[in-house]
Amino acid sequence: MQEPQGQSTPAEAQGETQTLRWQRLMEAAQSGDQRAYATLLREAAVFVRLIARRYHSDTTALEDVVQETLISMHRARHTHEPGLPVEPWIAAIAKSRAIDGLRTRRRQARLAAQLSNEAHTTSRQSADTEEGRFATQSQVIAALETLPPGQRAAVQMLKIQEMSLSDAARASGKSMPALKSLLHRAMLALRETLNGGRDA
Amino acid sequence: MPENTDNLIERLTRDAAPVKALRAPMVRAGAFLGVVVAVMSVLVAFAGDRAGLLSHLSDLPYAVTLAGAFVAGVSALVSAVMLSIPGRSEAWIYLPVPGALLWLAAGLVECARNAAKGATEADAFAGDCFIFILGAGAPVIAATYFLFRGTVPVHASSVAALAGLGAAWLAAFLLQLMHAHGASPIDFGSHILAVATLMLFAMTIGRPTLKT
Repeated sequence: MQEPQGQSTPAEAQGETQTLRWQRLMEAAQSGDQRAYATLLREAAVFVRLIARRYHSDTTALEDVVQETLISMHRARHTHEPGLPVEPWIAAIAKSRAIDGLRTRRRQARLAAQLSNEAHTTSRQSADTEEGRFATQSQVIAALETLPPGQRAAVQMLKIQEMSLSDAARASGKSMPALKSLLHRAMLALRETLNGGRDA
Repeated sequence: MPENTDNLIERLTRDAAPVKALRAPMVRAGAFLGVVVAVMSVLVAFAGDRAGLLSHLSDLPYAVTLAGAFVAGVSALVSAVMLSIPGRSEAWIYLPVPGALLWLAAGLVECARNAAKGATEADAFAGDCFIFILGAGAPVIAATYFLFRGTVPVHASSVAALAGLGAAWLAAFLLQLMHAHGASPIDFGSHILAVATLMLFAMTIGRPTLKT
């Protein structure tokens, strides 16, 4: 599949193709050259944005994919084999992160629908319309931001990323009962916030 | 995500210590398979059914089943290693197909022929064969930890499934070297079931470990 090309750079104007330039920058970055690495990440961000646009139209989601891809590239930079083009390596990570982003948004929508259904019993506003669902999803995202970090992380891992309790406990360094308790309090707080918002 | 992308790039750049690039996937796969084949050779040298093997090797379906299991096992592990590196062609997933088809087709031919002759004595070995493949395949799956250490696969499920299949087919190959006998439908069915079980086992334990 033909991947989109990034913006042309001064080096390209001098005859060095983007493929060779990124290969050189990546090899320098693997050796610890921070300047080369910063240049590569900045140029890669443009390339990743083009790929992510195929999957996401929302600007926030698009930027999430770009940032998640850059973080994954950082963690996986030792897996790029010197001498091979960097574009397919970046494109594969970007595509994977873009699909993860779609899944995350679907889970957010499911969580919003779940909370919306519960709130529906105490509210006149219907969550059955597309408009109602969209508003509720936005409200849930906003309500998530108001949670304390521990509770927010519990919802993120257990409800949005759908991690198992044991995996989430390992990832967060918390015990499983502590995570369950954080999730329970987070869900109560979310319901209260969302119901309060509707009643107001 | 509240952090600005430029700030993120700055932060990642500050953290960018030198890293040692992984060795080429083919080199890693070759080294891993070399160790597995060496261990299998030692096992066959000490406990292999050499007499039975020699008498069965002239039987074409048996020989093709044996070769198919080996080719499928090796190619599944090679494709798992290739797919564990971002950016490699997704077509690598099809590498084990020819070996798997050889193994399956020759095994079914052997079963059909033996069933038609009423030779069902291999049915008695089905349970032992199932346990042998699980017992020999599980350590190979565990050893793939060293093969995938440091990799960050974007297709974690496929990598785990292929690693499980590779280990299972190599275990099925070893079984035929250790206990050479003609297959019956129930016996060969137990091989297929053991291969599928190991694949699911590898996916269950491997996917969360490999997932980035």
